[in-house]
Amino acid sequence: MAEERARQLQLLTQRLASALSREEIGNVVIGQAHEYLGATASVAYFEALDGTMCLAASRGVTADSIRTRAILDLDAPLPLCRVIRTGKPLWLRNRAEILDEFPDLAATTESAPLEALAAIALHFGEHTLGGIAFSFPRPMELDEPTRSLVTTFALQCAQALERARLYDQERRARARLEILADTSDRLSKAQLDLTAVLDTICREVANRMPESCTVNLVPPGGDTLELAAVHHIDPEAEAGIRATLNDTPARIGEGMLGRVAETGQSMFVPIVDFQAMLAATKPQYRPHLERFPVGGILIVPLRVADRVIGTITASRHPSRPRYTVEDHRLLQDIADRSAFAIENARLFQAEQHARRLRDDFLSIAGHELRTPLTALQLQVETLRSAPAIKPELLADRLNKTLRHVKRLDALITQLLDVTQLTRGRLALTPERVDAQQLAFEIVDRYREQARRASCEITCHGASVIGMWDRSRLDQVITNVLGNAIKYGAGHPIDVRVAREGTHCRITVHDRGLGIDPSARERIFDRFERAISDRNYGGLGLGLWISRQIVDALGGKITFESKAGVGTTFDIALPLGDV
Amino acid sequence: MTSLVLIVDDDFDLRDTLSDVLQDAGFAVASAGDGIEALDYLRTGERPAVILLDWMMPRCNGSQFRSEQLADPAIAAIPVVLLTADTRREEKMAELGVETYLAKPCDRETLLAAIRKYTPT
Repeated sequence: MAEERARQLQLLTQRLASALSREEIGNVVIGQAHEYLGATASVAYFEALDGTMCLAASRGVTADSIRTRAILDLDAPLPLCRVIRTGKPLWLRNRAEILDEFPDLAATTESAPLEALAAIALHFGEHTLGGIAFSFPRPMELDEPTRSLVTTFALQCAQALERARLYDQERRARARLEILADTSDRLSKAQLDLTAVLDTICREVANRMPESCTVNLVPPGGDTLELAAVHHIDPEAEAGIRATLNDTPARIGEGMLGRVAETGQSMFVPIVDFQAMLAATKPQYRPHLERFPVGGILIVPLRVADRVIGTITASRHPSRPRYTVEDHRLLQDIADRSAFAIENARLFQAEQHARRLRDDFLSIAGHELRTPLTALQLQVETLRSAPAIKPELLADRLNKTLRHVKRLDALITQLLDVTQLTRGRLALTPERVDAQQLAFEIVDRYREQARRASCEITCHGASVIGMWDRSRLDQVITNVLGNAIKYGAGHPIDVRVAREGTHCRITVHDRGLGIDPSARERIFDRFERAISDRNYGGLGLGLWISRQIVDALGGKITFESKAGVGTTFDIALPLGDV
Repeated sequence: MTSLVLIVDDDFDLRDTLSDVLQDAGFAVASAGDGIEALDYLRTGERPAVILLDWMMPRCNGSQFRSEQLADPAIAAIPVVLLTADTRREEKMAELGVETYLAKPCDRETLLAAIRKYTPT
């Protein structure tokens, strides 16, 4: 007998050596013990990652029983539960002993008779990894050598489980490192192309932590998360996600994405309340969501220093394994690496945009300077080649020549203003100025140009005196009026000056092209202009300079515009200490 | 008989000066502020011997004008001298089917020589 027990142990050790998964270990231990002990029913429960005790292997147990007892309720009045709770084995040799300890088992529905029972916890160090139990159809001796053998089986099983856990941990850690290394590698290959960077991240996450990944970014100065990239292992699901998210952008602070973006705290939802999610989805996208349901969601912030620049979301079907704490950490690691790549690509793009604007500007400036220069050159050459010229004609030609010179001077002044304004604040010389008088003077100066553009300018208002830098204010009104004539040719223009409390309000209303909504954000930017194809003359600096001046005067310049109807520029200036 | 030159340029000062120079040199001059005005003139006014065309104009620019002109058999044959500050001239000329261009700033002699190529002396 002793020899047979030794052989059994040797066999178990051999078999366990090649068992690396929990299922394999359970089957080796339960299979061998069940047969050797002659049990009617044998079960092994192992602790899962989430802490629950799950059925790992069984013999002689009905399918119904397996289904209803897949997860062990540790509070139930059952032998194995008590063994796991207390850590003490149970050796119940006959029915009387069983019923004495567990009276409820008298009413057991198991078909096989329950005449003896052995149950033992699986310990590794301080930790209980699970338990195994065997029931017998006849009273059993359960003598010391048998107890010792079962105890040794339990010990071997626990060791094998710990080995498998370590192996699994190692394997996951390696996979995690591989994913991170791969992500870093691909991010570096994507270089500074933002689209490529985002696409890389999404693909990597969706393929490695199936099944879906989306990246949302907060545009600089924006308050809404915009969908930047999406990938799903199923292209049809991807198209649906794209449509849904594009149509329902998340505002910062609202919804799951918005909260992550606001707080910088990730959101880990291993089990999604799908009905609630469905209810929160626009009706037209519900059929898609029902077709590709979401079981788990992970949302992590993309952080650069203490700013949140966006979010990465991973989600998966309910049939896939739940996201674990490790998945959560992995996604945050990926996000941390990605955030810098995204930020770099963004800065690079902004830099490229600035450079393009500057290059365009230089080319426009060249063109703008050349037009009056051409006129100047031709006018001077004509004067030189004319054999004899009448005095009144000469005066006319010289006046024209002077006008070209003034135009060149105005352009050069604008260019120098840009340099000065870019370097620092404007130096202002405030004096008492009547805004109405100044505005009317400027309108007078523009009469001829307005007539040529078929614009009738009407002045309204009363005298408003304030402390302003006359030449700078002149520049602002000139810029705004000049634009009104340029873009409102053929239609009347109204200039209005009025006092409103402690402010002076100057409005210039044209009935021209209007400003395209897409251009409204940037018309006050340097080198920007709403009319992109450069068919209108000018440096595209006027409004930028005007805003700098109005800012320096402590005022505000705003506009209202409707495409095809016209534009009203509104300049509000504090009167100052008059 | 004086040859007529049509000046198409949105810049009033330049248009005015070109007109002075050409008139001083003995040409008759008509002018238009953009491509649309130019097409109107060509379809209703006296036929010019040559068109002096600016490239960048609002509403209807040089390129739009030129395609419209070429599409209209009645005016397609009128030669065009392009006036531009742009550096990609060759590309632009091929695109517009224009043989002669003037780079801004241009001097009086070059301007007159370019116009005389298309006007009987």
